[in-house]
Amino acid sequence: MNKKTKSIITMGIWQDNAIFRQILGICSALAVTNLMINSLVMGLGLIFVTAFSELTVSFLRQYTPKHIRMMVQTLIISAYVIMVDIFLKAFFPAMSEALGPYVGLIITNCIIMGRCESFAQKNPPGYAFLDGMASGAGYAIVLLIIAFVRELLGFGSIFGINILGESWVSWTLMIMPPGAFFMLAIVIWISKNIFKEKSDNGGVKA
Amino acid sequence: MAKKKKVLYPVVFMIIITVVFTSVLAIINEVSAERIQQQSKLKEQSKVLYAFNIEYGETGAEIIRQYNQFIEERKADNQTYYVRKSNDDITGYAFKIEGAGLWGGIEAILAFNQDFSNLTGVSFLNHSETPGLGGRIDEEWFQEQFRDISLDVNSTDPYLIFKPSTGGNVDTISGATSTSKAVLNIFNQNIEVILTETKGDVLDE
Repeated sequence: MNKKTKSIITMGIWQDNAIFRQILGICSALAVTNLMINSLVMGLGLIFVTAFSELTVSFLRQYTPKHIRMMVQTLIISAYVIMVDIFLKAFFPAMSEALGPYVGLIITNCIIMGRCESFAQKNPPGYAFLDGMASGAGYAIVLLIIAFVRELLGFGSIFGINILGESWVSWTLMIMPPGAFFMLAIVIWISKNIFKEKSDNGGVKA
Repeated sequence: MAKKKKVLYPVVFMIIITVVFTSVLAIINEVSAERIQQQSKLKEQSKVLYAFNIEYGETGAEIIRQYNQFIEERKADNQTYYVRKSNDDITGYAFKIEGAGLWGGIEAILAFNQDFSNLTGVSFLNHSETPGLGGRIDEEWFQEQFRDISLDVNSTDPYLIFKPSTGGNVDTISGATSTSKAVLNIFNQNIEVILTETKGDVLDE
């Protein structure tokens, strides 16, 4: 693993994590994190779409006229999202129903557009694909962390398997939208504290 | 690089890339269309079986076999309804109904016995109620409550009443009052329509 590969992975998953560092993709992070399984499927969907969109954008980057690149990116992204949507409908209809409109809304997930624009536009296909995987994984991991807490407290279960037993009184608030806001805020708060120290040590200040 | 400043190139490029991606998607869609339709049909069939209180297997093939054995689809006024048969005798009817829930539409199946004196059962096809609260309407304990409830057209009371009111026959979902009320309203209204209007048409055939 060379240096660049390593840095792409750590940047995507940790240092430049889409959710808690760049505050991107928040809408879907709030919406689908009430159950672990929803978050997992959403995360996998996003990894797929980001990776392949970046790959395609990167392949076409030398032939794409600069001023229409956004149009081209949107087209590519939506094509992959529709593929995911069809795939879920055909093979996992229950999942497709649970995620509802959020699968289609992967198109508007800023992470994909952001990575295509800032990374795939300037880098060769191999790295672009890897960057897509890493960014998507960063997103998926945060979603799973939030969903873990929400499902555990809200339903007393993990991936639908009851953990806390029958006597557990579910925190209804956790599975309602406010639960998502509280959890996301806590995640961002913690990460801010972790990164604060680092940027104070001579890092660039915004 | 000079090429990129021209007007024609971006247009041609965009057209080509659009055609390529659209064709790929069209092919995928074509290939999977049948499967998707099967899946949604399978879901509907299992819900009809559930409403009729017919036990069905896990796999798609078993559901289809059970369905074909017991259920016959008929049409009246362009609306499909389901007839339950056992050895050529009709033992029940089921109808697809819909109405407004708390957040969105609710689609359900109502099943009756052969003379419409009993509600055999209900099942929910589609809804968008709050997960964990109103969304619990499709849990088994809630749907099971609607088994074998006797219906009296001449009574002035609603057909379904929440406990603990007098004559109550079903429980609400605690924490989901609006959804529970909406569901009961949809059921009561549709049962009324079915018993007073649809029943006549269906039994005449």
